[in-house]
Amino acid sequence: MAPFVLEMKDVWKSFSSPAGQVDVLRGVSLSVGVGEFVMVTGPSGSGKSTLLNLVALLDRPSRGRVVFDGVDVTGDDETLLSDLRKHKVGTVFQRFCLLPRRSALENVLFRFRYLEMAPAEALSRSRAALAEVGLEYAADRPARLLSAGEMQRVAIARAVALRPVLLVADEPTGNLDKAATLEVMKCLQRLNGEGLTILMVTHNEGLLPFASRHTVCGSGILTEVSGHMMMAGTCDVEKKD
Amino acid sequence: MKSKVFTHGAKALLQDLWESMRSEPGRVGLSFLAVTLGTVALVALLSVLGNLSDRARQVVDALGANVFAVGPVFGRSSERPADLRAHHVALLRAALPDCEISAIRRTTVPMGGVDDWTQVTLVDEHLAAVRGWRLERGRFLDRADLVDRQRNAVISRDLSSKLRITLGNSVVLDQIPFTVVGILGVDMGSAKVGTGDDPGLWGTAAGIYIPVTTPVERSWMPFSEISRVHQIFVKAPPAVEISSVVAAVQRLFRDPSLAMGDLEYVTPESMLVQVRRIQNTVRVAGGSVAFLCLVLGGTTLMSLMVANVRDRIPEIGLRRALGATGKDIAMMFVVEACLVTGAAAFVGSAVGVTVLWIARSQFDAPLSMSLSVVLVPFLVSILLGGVFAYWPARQAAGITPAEALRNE
Repeated sequence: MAPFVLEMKDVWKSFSSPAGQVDVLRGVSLSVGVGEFVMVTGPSGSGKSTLLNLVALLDRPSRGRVVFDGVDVTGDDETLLSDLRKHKVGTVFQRFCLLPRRSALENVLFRFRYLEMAPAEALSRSRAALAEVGLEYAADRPARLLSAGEMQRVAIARAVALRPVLLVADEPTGNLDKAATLEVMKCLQRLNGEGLTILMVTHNEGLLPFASRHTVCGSGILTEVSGHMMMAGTCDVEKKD
Repeated sequence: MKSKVFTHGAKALLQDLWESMRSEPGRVGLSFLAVTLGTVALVALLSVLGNLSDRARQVVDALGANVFAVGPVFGRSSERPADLRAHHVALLRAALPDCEISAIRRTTVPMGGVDDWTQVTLVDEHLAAVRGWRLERGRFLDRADLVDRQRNAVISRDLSSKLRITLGNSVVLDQIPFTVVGILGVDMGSAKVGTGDDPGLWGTAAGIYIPVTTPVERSWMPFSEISRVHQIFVKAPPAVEISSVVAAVQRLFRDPSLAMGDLEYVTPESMLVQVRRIQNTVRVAGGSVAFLCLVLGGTTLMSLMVANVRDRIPEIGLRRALGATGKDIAMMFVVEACLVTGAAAFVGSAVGVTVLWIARSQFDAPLSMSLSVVLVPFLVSILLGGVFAYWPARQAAGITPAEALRNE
């Protein structure tokens, strides 16, 4: 395995607008090592989501270089990106992105939809992932009947069912109340403890104690703020190990 | 977990499609209805056209191989319709010794067992041979019938079964009994079309043929009509082009000394022209309706697919995030459209065939039933589904994962 799961060097991302070209990311450099829990915070419009899209291989940079798990993904190879997303990236979204009519277990199974894997193995991995987030009891319950916290944990189970190289989470607690937020963060922390590398974007600085690194995104530039658990004192969600 | 665990492949695709269809029942139902109606219209059109093609074949068969008919212009206004008489037939026989020639005269008489007046055709002994008719039972009128002026008759199969008359029975024409000596094997009523409004040319379902020499009652036919000929059938020898014989007859009857009026020449070719004209009319009229129905169905489907794509952008984003390629996404929408149109086409074909069957059996509608009548609309509808879904599917495939997830 590469020493860094992700390396971004002088990455720019620009969009065209009627007013002209807008540089959302301006020469961002970021390295995420194996087993790290990196949290990126910043105000709305600072470029956090754009950064996350690049990290999750959902978008390509306008300039600069991105290396994911030792593979240069800067180029135009859509098949390569799809393949990496399929096998090595797990993504958690703010609004869960679940299929409401399907059960919790079927939603986790959906992780394997574009993979050629024996159904029995996919099923066993999905069950294990649900157990990992503490939702075995809700396996057969339709996703639409779950609470918000449960939905997000199903989404996390889906993201980690294949043991990704990197878990990317975009405001995973953005739609949750305090209790559910704590549930989800504890879950992420446990997964990180098991060796899963996580990059999470949030505007809630109260969650920083759960991360091992904190980076602030502002005006398209990343600034490294702290090392391990430096912000523990500012947590507004009770942290229980 | 139940047996419905599909992670990849066709079954997983079908599961996805079933899921999405269940979530949009109104939308899917509307597309389904439009395509079903289009398919029914196409089935009906093909059935009518198929029937016309069958008729075209029957027309040629009914007229007889290498046979043409000559008669006064019938059913159209003519300033001077020809007055064909028996001596003209004799003239023709003398001029065309290699051709088989038969002449007929028609009249209508009241008939026992039939509500209305029926048509009786007075014929010579050559008619069946010239027209190539086969007898189902018995024989056709022969020389002896004509010479002896026998009150014998040959009747059509339809009349035989309708009145339950068989060989040896009598048909009573204006209270005069005629003994049935033969029953024709051809369906006399089925080939009437176009110019063949002339029933003498095609015969009728209730056709009765008696010797032309049989004395007929004065009420049947005025004396002046006795020698009149309504139709002459000429069968060219096998090695001779029918057109050259037609030309020879035209030359003969154009002789000023005959003072012949307007004649109509009915050849297999001219009959086919008539049939094709009808076919084209039906094709254009019916085809336009069917085409409009299908295009309407297709565009409805397309607009619904566009809305479907728009509504499912977050799902597209999720799928892309899980590794689906643009091709996977496009395939999903195309297959979904093809499934909807395929199911609608299946139902439309079934409804169409049922309607045709009822129309044929209950109302004797001139419709043809064949495999192509069902299969072609079915395939056209599925193809249409694919074609009309292509653009929305391409749009869906073109949405980048980041863009799709931004819509979340």
